[in-house]
Formats: sequence, structure tokens, C-alpha cells
Amino acid sequence: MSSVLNSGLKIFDIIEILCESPESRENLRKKLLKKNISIETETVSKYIRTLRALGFEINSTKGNPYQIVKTPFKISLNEKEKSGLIVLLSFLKLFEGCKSKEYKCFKDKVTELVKNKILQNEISKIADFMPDNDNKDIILKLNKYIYSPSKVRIFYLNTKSVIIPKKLKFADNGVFLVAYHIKEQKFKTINTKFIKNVKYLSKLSENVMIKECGTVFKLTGRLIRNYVLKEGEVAHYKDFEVRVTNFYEDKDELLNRLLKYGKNCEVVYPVEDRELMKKKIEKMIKHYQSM
Amino acid sequence: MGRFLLKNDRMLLTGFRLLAILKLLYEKDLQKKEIIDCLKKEFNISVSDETLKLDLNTLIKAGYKIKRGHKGNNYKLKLDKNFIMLRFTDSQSAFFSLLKDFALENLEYSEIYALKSFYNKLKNYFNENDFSKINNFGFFDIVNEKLIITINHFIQSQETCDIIYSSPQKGVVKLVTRLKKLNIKNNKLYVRCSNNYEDGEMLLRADNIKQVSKSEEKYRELKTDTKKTRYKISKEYFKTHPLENIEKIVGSDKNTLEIELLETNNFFNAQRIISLGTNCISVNNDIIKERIIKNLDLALELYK
Repeated sequence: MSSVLNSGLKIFDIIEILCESPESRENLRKKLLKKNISIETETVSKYIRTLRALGFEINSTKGNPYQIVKTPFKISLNEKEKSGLIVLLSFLKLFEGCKSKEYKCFKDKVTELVKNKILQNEISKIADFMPDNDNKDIILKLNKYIYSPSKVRIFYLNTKSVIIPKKLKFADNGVFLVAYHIKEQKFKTINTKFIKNVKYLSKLSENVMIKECGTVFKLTGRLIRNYVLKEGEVAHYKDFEVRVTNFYEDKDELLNRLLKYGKNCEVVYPVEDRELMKKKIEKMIKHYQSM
Repeated sequence: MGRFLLKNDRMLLTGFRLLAILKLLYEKDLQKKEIIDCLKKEFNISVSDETLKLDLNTLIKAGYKIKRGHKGNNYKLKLDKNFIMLRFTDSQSAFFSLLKDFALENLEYSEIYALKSFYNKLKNYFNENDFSKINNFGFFDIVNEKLIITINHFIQSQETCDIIYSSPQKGVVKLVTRLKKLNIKNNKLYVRCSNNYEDGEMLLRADNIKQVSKSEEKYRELKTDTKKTRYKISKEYFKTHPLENIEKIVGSDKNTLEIELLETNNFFNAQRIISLGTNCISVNNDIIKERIIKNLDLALELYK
């Protein structure tokens, strides 16, 4: 009895193989053989029929490989989870018109996964969030490389740049990309509207970022507890202060940002940056006094 | 249906039955007896208690985590393992991650919590590393959702309430207040409220609120200056910089844009304008201007 039960598990191996990629009957048999599972080609067909009987939708036209299109495994959602699904579907709607196959595949998979039939009018709620942008495919591409850190080349405002995409920011005036510019060795914010093309170069290796000497600033007061470290920042806590080293942010942007923390933030290193900050403050005071 | 297709083939029938059991447990927790009934009803398979026990053991040996729901008789079986076939790929996981970032910046707190709850439901469809990345809702992981619901109740009802607030400057204080709105700023949740002590209105960080309850004290609302702050800036600036979610373009001419700050809190407005550096051309609010100059003077002291 036990051997029959164990051999019953072969069907799981078939599902696993077909979920990785579509396979022909013969290839499926060979892959099973690699897992020390020996079955006849004819038996493969029987397993496929079994899966279909359970509710799997498996495509196979003559000569083409088997491909699992739908599975019978669905999840049911409570009201709150359903609201979460509506948010997701509304968000997907922002990308409608994308040519990306991955987008379509994802949409199908999510809708297929859940039992609930979502009313179309429920999912239009956040559709206005996408500012005028024809670059939806580019946004999705960039997002993919943010998730799996990669080096890419972009064509931006008629120039080519090699960057490491870090974050997308949706604002009323556009979708912005925060990326590390390899050549300039600093973070830049780029309006995706002006990106014409994205080309994948390579996966990011650990040591691709050459750490130049960063700007060190000291935080005191409530900021010790409340400051949220930005991309490329390292913090060192000591007694009643915290020292943060920022390696990559554009110097001007960084100093502007630090200014908003007032007397609770002081640039301590290097001396040139301290001087720069001092001059900036003096210039700003004059600027606002003359306003 | 099962028997019709699989008659005379015990091995296939076993595979079918194992998958059918998983399918049933996948949808909901079931007692053994319920599984037997469902197998009969949905798949036309008759099984004995003994066979079901063997099947469950086989699935457990194969790595599917099937656990008892509670002690005693009539316990339900709970499946705690997903099928590898349903896992999301890297690019699909990337989509979830993008939506989370988007939600944290643009959506209402209730939508963020709903999304968080939906992601938790999908936990088994991601590998562990991906899930911990995707499910990191930062600030919203530490704020007590029940408390936020209570706060929302007081916003809707406009009742006066007592708030126990852990102030970074004053320590734990009790405030008598009327709550007005929940705001998300820089991925953090704030509660806008008026009170009897300050200059009419203040923003409290939700994670610092320890307790909210109905107040017995009499409440007298102070009149507040509702004039909105506006500033002018060059058009070029916002080609390469995103607008904050508290900003709205209200006017423009050939070279400049006029931006209105939707925030009424002067502290945040001054912070925002300072962060523009010398790019800001003019500000309509003298109080803000004074505040900026005062903050800059204090900052300059550090470098003398």
C-alpha cells in the first residue's frame, strides 16, 4: 500500500516540472527520469488526464508542449482582504495598455487565484494616480530591475547613462526614478517621462558601488529616534547623538534636505562640506530676508 | 468523476486523491470526516478512515505541513504549505513591491491595511526572502491598527476625546482634543487635531499615541488661521523633482509655478520650503518666512 501511496506523489513532480516551463511529453518523461522517476510516455498522458479531471487547465495542441494555464487551487478572501485585492487590481489598471507580457501574465494569475468576482466599478478608484505618462512599459521594466538589483543603460534627455535603479516615486507631476548614477557616483532623481529606452546590462555584483568618502552629519534631539535612514546611509549611535554617513546623495540635495532639521542636525565631516553648509545657510538667510 | 477516469489504475487514483485532499484543505480547514464527505461529494471518491490517514501521512512525509487545528476530538486539519506551482516569479513579486511603495505614498491608511492583510493572505505564494521584503510596510507594521480604527471613529463622530501621547519633547502627556483627519506624510501616519493648549491645530504621530478615549472635559475650540501657504518656484525645478503629496500646483506663468501647500501645520510647511534651498522664489506667508529665518539662524550657530 505504501509504495502505491508514494508513487501517487509522482503527480506532484509532474506539476512542479510543468509549472517551471511548458514541456513536451517526451521531455517531461526525461525530466522525471532525472528525478529517478521512471514512467512510460503513455503514462504521462494519463497523468495529464488526471490533472485535467481535478480542474487543471492544461494546453496542448498537437506537437506543442503541455502548459498549465489554470489551476483549481483558489483562495477565498474576507472583506478586508478583498479590499486589498481591489487596491491591487486598481493599481494594475494604471498599467493598462502595457505591452509587457509579464504584466498580462501577472494580472491573469492574480485574478485567477482568487475566487471573488470583483465588480469593475470597484476597481476604478485609484486609476487617476498615474500622471500623463506614455512610458508605462518603461516604468514596469525599471521596477523589475529595482527588485532584482541590476545595472541598466538608459537613454535620458538624449544622453546615455549607466545607472542602478533604486526606487520609483509616484507624484502628481510625474513618475520619478531614484537611481545611482555610476559615472557621477551619486544618486539622482530622474523623471521617467524623459526616459526613452532601458537596456539591461548585468546583474548587480556586491562591490559595484565604489564608496567614496561620504558626508557625515550629527543628529540630536527628537531626530535620534525619528530619523529614517535614506538609501546609502549608515548610522552610528553614541550617547545622546547619532552620526549618519551619507555616501551617495547629490551634495546640494543633501545639504538642502539637512537644513530642514535646523539646529538638530550638523554637518561634521568633511570640513569642505561644513564650509559649504555654512555658506549655504548664509546665502539662504539673505535670500529669505530679501524676499 | 475520479473513478470514471482512473478505474483500474490505483497509482493514478492515489495521485488524484492526494491532490484532491490538498485542494480541499487548501480552500479551508476541515475535519477528517468532512474530508471524506467532500471527496465523495465533489470527486466521487469513497475512502475509509484508514486510507485517509495513510494519505495524510504520505502528504506530510512529502513535505506538506498538515497540522491539527486544536486539541481534542473533532479537530480540524490545517494545511500550512503552498504549492510550488503557485509561487510568484521575481518579476511578479516586483509588482507587489511597487504597489506597496505606491500605496505607502499615495493611498489612505485603510487601503494600506487592506493591502497588508491581502499580502499576508498570499504569504505562501512567495519565497520567504521575497515575502519579508514585500510585506515590510514600515511604519504601518508598528502602529496598532485597532487604535487607528478608534481614532477614525472619533474623527467621524467629532466627539471630544482624551489622548495619551508620548511627546518626544514633553514626555507622556494627556491632551483633550478633537480629531480632524488622518494624514500620511513621508510614509508615516499622522493625526491632525485641534486642542485647547497649542495654537489651534497640531499633528501627532500615530505611533506616539498610546490611548484614545471619550473625554468628560468641556472642550472649547480656538479659532485657527486657515490661510494656505503658497510659494513660487521655477518651472525647471519640478521637471526633475517630484511634487510632495501635500503640494498642488495652483498657478503658473512663463517661467514660474505657484505651489500651494495643503498642510496647515507651519512646522511642516517651513521644513518643506527650507528643503527647496534657494530655488524658492517667494512665499506668501510671513509667519513661515520668519520661522525659516529663525531656523536658519539657529542652524548657523552650529557652524560658528
